[in-house]
Amino acid sequence: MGILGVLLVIPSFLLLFVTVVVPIVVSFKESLSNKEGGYDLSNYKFLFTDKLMRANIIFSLEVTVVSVVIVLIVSYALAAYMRFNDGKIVKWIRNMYMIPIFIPSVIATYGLIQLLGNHGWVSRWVLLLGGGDIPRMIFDMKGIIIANLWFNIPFTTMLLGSALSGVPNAVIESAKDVGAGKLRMFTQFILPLTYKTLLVAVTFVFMGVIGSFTAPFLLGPNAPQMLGVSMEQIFGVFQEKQQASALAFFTFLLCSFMGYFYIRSMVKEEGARS
Amino acid sequence: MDIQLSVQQLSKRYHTGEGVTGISLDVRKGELVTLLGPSGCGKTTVLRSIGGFLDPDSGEILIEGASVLKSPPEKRPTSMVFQGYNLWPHMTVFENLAFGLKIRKMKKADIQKAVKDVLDLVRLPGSENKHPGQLSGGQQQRIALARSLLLKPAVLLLDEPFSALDAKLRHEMREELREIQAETGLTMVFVTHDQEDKAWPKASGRSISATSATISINAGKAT
Amino acid sequence: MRWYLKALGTRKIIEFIVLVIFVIFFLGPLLNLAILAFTGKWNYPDVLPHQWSMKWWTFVFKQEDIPQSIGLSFMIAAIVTGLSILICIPAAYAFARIRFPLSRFFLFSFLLTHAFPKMGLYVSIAVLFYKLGLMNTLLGVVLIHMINVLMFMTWIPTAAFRNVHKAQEESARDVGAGPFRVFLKITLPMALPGIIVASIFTFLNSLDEAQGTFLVGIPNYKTMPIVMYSIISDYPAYAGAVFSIILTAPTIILLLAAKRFVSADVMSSGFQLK
Repeated sequence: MGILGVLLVIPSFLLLFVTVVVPIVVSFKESLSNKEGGYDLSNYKFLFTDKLMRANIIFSLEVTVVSVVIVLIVSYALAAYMRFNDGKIVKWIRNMYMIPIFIPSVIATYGLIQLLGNHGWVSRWVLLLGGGDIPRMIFDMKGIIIANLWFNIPFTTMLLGSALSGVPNAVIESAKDVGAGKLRMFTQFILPLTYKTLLVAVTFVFMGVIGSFTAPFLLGPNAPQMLGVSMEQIFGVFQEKQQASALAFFTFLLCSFMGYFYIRSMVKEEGARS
Repeated sequence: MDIQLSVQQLSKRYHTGEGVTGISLDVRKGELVTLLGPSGCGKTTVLRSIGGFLDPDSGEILIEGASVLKSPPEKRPTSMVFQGYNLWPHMTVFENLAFGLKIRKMKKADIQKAVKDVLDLVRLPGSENKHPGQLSGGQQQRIALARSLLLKPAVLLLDEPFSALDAKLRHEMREELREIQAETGLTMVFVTHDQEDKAWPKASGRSISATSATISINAGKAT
Repeated sequence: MRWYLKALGTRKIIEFIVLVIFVIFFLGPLLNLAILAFTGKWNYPDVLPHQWSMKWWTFVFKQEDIPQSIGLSFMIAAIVTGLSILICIPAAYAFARIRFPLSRFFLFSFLLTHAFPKMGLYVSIAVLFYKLGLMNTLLGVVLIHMINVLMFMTWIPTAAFRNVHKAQEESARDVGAGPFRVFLKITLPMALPGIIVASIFTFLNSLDEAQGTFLVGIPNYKTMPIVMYSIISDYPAYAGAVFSIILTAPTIILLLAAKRFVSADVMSSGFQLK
């Protein structure tokens, strides 16, 4: 029986191995190669010493952290709203909030540019309603964050919504009965009970944002850059394969960090149960 | 009277240390035997071994005199009613009931008649086109029972089939089961943790009580 | 007016404002693109075009590579979906039902497809594909698309299979069905909603894939997203909007057709496997 299991998994794992594991290993090897053909950490040193690269790394981390935090807050709020309310409006939202997950990222980014640009649709409406010029929202850090929110809130709301529906009504009601206010209810009941899913969400948003390319490329500032854009530039424009690999592997390490916690929390529950 | 089911020195140990050791039991044709005991005492282990869902470490299981130890569940002359999740939600009641008969290549007309008859037997006539989701818990278990009855098994196994129902319903279902057993003459093994299930009306059923975590008694004909 | 607002209560007003922001934020870009696509003449600072027209549609379809790219994208998406079903569903069943050595390891290894930044991955893959002669081939492009979907097509169906209660498979065995018949008649139909959701996701994901295809597929294999990038830079917003609608239409159609299956619980349980 065990052998059958392994056999069934082999095709997909083999594909994974060839298309992902091997390139990662190759990338690691490349990142350690220096210009003379030997091996050292010169590429990594460059990452952390070059002023521009350092700025890119810090910028990317800032954007990622800010995006993750805002996404979590908004998604929790939205998920809680859908869980504890009813009515026509709520029904509408429930039916529509998942749509952005399925919209191609190029389209969405393009749409955001048209919507929020200087002469975009929002600015025209604001003018119509008597406001002045709107502040610049895209082509800088704010634009990337806005795009990240657009892409990640629906998915995270979906995850958290599912987790919230797993919190029994009885728990909420007995908390209310004892006199817990909204904030206490959240921090002492909802959060601990949905903590697992929170970790899943954080992991996926983090991974999705830190290496992203499309949105930063189309509506990010020219400098500093997100790591995905920087990678493309180093490889495509400057033709520096090794530096690009070092940057890629560094980003991978950051993600692995998150992935490790994710896997550990998933597996821990299994151990506690049996 | 012949022995329909003979379990001999059945042993099965799990990694956790739980399990059964040296269980023996003989069930005569047409008997209803109750395996009664607290959770974890191994009664479900015995039942699942008989049904073919568990491979015992040692021992023998004979049904109508022949060993079934090496047969997979689909080839054993047993039929089991589980505690829950018996019916397939994506099929109608009719399809649920006909599934086993279709496998046995019964003719369409015969299947229809058999299904109608068994639905009458469990007092749910006319429910062929309903989906399990439209039935109550008690009704679902009756359909599950009907499905097992259709196959005219040598031994009918019931794994706490009524424990998810309320007390009154449990009592009713027990009475119904007793009547069905009297009518059909099927041999049944009934597993439960409910003390009340010991009191089957009409004492042609025997009970074997298990009171310790590991059953190591040679049960035989105890009461 | 003021008494009306007061009567509603501040809570409702806040709810309404939040809802409006929500709708503007998520649907605004798409709505804007829809309007742009049918614009004849639209001047700043008007809020709506003062002339509607289909002229940009004829323009877009007259461009050489566009109709071809549409056909190509759909064909590749179909191949990728079919292939991933073939390879991943058996693996999903194994993960759900069979205990075999290293199953956890294999299961979580699929996270790698998202942990490594895509840009970096494609860079290394480009090198690998050069060596294997897979550059500018259909197989190469298909493989690149497969990377993105491996995780979804394995995890979500695994959760779907796990949701089929063991008792239902056992009762099928009990009434005489052999293992294969049980899979075909019981397990698969009951897991189908999850599998369909994953497949839709895969199909749409493949339609959306741009970066890797760009690296591996040019010059012969120009899919819709690649054409989109050049449209964005070379043509006015109206053409981009038209193309966006063409690229997004399959999403909407598929989602509407499969509305029954796409539920939050089905998808999110796929990401919380243990």
